Amino acid sequence: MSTGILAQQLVNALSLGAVYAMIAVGLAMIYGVLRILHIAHAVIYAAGAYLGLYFYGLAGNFVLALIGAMVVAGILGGAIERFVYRPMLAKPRIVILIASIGLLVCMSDLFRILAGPHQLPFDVPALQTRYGWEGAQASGVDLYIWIGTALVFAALWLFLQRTRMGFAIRAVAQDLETAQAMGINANQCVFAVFVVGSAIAAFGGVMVAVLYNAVYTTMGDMVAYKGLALIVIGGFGSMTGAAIASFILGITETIVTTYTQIPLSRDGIAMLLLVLLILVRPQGLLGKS
Amino acid sequence: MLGDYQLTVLTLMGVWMIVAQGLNVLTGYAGLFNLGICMYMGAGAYISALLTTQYAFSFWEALPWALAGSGLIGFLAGLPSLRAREDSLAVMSIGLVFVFESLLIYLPYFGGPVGIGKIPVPVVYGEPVSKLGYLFLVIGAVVLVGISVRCLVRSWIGLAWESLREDELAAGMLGTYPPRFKLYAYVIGATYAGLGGVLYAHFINYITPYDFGFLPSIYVLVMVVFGGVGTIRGALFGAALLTALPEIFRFVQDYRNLIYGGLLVLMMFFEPKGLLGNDSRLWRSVTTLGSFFRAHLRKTVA
Repeated sequence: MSTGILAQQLVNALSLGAVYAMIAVGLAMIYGVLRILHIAHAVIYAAGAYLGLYFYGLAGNFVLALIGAMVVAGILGGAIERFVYRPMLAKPRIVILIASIGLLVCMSDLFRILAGPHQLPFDVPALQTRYGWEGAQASGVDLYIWIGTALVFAALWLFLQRTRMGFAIRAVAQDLETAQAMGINANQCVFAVFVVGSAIAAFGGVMVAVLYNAVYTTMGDMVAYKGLALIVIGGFGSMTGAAIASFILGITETIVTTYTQIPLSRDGIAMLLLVLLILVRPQGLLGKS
Repeated sequence: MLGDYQLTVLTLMGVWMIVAQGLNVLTGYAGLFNLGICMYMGAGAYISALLTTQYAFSFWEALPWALAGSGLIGFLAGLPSLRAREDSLAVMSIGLVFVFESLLIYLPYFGGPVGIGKIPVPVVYGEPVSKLGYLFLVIGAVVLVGISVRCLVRSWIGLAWESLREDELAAGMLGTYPPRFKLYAYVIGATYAGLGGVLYAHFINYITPYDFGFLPSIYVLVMVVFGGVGTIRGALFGAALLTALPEIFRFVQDYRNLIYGGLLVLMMFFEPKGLLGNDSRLWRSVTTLGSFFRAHLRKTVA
């Protein structure tokens, strides 16, 4: 194999890993504050892609469409927290997981009804310029994904470390009841986490849609299961762990499908990696045992 | 008399009742949350289908092997699951069902994505069973499964499961070895699901990997949750209801996932214990009504 192909695979792996990280970090944040598996997060991701496509058709400007999709998806995520999860928090945790699965199944069908069963193209000509380097090619979308991911994560870090709200969120993540006793509005924090996490997921959704030039109803499904796998691998509630796990998964998937003959699909490999990692480290990469 | 259509619906109802009972043992009684029950159903279906189509086994010769095989898969899947707990366990079961489905699709031995066709109908007294005969076969299996689950739950295994489900640490302290009983639950639950798979394969005569993936597993979970987790009547009722609903409301067929998903959310809102679960509104009124009538009867007799 030439280095050109390897470099190309690394470009692909990096973009894939960045997109996984977008999903996984939001999920890890949500797990951090509420200790729930938010499977329906993938619905937000798919909704982001559809909204992005819709706004792009309306405005014709990609950046505007991206921001619009992130805002609306953030509101949608907040609504799910407010109207579905919050009333259920007192019940056993399994109840929320099942409700979340219900939301996932229900909403992906809703997309099919609203947007039709066919795959829609998401073509942004401005982002299709290709940059060659050592035999590998990165498109404008790849660059957008890398820079966008870096910006989003930097902003997220600033938000959590440097603002009052971020400080409150970290307190809630450590211990919800104690934080509440100290006068922190926990409901508001949880709501903010859902809004921010959903907006980031929508960013990932729009980027994937442009990268593969496709928006389809089931695009969230596989991501839902992989996202859960990623926060398990990363160590529950650890955002750094989830981000690292995302890049590991992106690279493993790409390399294994290119260079080996394992009789498994991409998703099969991801899931096998998950099972093996749980066996070796049940508490996750950065989790405390 | 029953037409072909009604027979098919009723038979499938029975099949799902059996699979739901398998999940009920695993999740309801032993408290091991599982989102991939159809993996074990698929194991039973594929083993039986392969033995009857490739190796000239008859249905009855293949049945014990298929049951043992799905039990073995349950055991193998249970081993890694001993390391995981709660949320990781749920996620792990998703992982396992995807690996299983992916293997079936990519290994040509299992027929690849098109699956296995021409699975023979069972032969009884030298003649292939009619549809009506098959329905009776399935009903017999449902009754057998129901009785055996009842016996199991009332035995020491069932008591150990209950104590594990309520408090694993305390159960372990009192001398119940948790891994052993968890593995029992995996093997037994998987065997029931495998039986459902065998009956499904020989009824539909054609199976693909997609019949036993994640989404069908969710349907089974919906059935069990809907009826009431951890009760035999709940699993039976849920399976019957959710197989019949799309058939009764044909127009619903197109929106099946929308309605299933929506129902699941609403159910969790208003009746998280299931329609007929212990302590649910409906079951409470049924039991009060029952005791009222019994008291009334005693009075009139006396």
